[in-house]
Amino acid sequence: MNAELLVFVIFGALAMGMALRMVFQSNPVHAALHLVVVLVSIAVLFLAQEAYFLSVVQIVVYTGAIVVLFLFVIMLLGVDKQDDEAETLESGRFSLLLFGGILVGLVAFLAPIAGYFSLFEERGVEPGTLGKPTKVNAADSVDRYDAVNIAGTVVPIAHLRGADGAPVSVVALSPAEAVRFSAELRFTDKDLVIMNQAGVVQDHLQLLPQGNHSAIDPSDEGDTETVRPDIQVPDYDLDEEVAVSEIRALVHLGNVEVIADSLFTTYLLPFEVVSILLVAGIIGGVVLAKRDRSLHGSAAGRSDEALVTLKEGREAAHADLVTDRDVAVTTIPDADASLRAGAAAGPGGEAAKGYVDV
Amino acid sequence: MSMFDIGNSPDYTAYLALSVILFMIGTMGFLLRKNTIVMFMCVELMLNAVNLALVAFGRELGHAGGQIFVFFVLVVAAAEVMVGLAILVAIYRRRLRVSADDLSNLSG
Repeated sequence: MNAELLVFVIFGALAMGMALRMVFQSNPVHAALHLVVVLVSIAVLFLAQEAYFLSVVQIVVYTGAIVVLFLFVIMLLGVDKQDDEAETLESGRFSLLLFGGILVGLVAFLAPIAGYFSLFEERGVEPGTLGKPTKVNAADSVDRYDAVNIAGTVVPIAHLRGADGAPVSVVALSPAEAVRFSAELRFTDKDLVIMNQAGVVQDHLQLLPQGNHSAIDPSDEGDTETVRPDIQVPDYDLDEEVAVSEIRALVHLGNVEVIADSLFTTYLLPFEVVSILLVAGIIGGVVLAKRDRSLHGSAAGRSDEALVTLKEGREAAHADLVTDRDVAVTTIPDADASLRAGAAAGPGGEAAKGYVDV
Repeated sequence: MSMFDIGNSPDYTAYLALSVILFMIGTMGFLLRKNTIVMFMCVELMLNAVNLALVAFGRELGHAGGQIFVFFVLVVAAAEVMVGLAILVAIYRRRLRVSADDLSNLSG
């Protein structure tokens, strides 16, 4: 079994199982801990897809910050106890469960099948042919030109379709540069083509996920044509053995550089906007969670809406607290309901202050 | 590595299928649960499923944009959790409960 497939099966199953357990967990603390397992599994799947930086960020941000925040709030509010009482699936919820199950079944099994065929049909590629050695024919469709900016060096890349329609990246590089930048090229496509000064393909290496690569005999490339005559590439002698080993050494590097380069050039504006959003979120969180002093003072400081919603039991609790204030304080378990209402009532909430003040 | 070299790597459709399943589990949990904190966790699960799909697409299409967008989703998720949990704390102060069934003012 292929290593990536093995990882996918194990951690995909783990993520699914733990997600289901999270949903059906009555204790929120346990649900949060199951969420941790799901998030770590997804981080591993990121790793399997060569998104190394994202994988680390996933663990740091989600399990390090977000889940800890969840646990903090759960324990701050103490909702883990009061929730134990029921969260069972009543008959009304059973239809929802059925609906969800049918939806899961439909989407999970039909959509990938439909998407699989339609996506490949659009490309004119038989399913499963991607990643096989392909012959470069530059006269075939060139999808787009772009460039990667690596440590200040702008490297032009032509993305085109090989003779069998598989995606190929043609880069204007010397072999040394090609080896240096092979990580990025691996990231963008599966094929590495080295051209000479006139833009004629000199060598065609195929980088496979495991770091193996197959070199296609340059004589096979006789039918290739000039792709980018304007690209200037120094002449070179191809030392294939060196290239093989160095590409193997470098093929799994470079993810962070690619991310950083895109983030701070192409996506700079969204990056800044999103940072403003984060600052707004911080301020909003502080403002919302800040204790409202007027809440414990008088009823005048509270909103009408809250007063309306808490109207029931207000009179009773008020009277209760005014007459039996000391009793209510000393027998907190018995007076729980009256304290709750008393806190809502405001003026009588003096006794309940310490209890409500979370 | 060579001892595992039988069979193919999972196609990106495999990741998409997993992503869809996780998303649906999250949706189901969001609909079924009454505890607002667990509902928030389900939203996080849905966002993560989308992240998985984005990474799979970015890898398949050979574009860094997929992974970049995951960062934006991460930031939005962080901001959402921050504000959402602060709202929950504020609600809890007023009513001492955070069950979704108790937050039915708007239903009239």
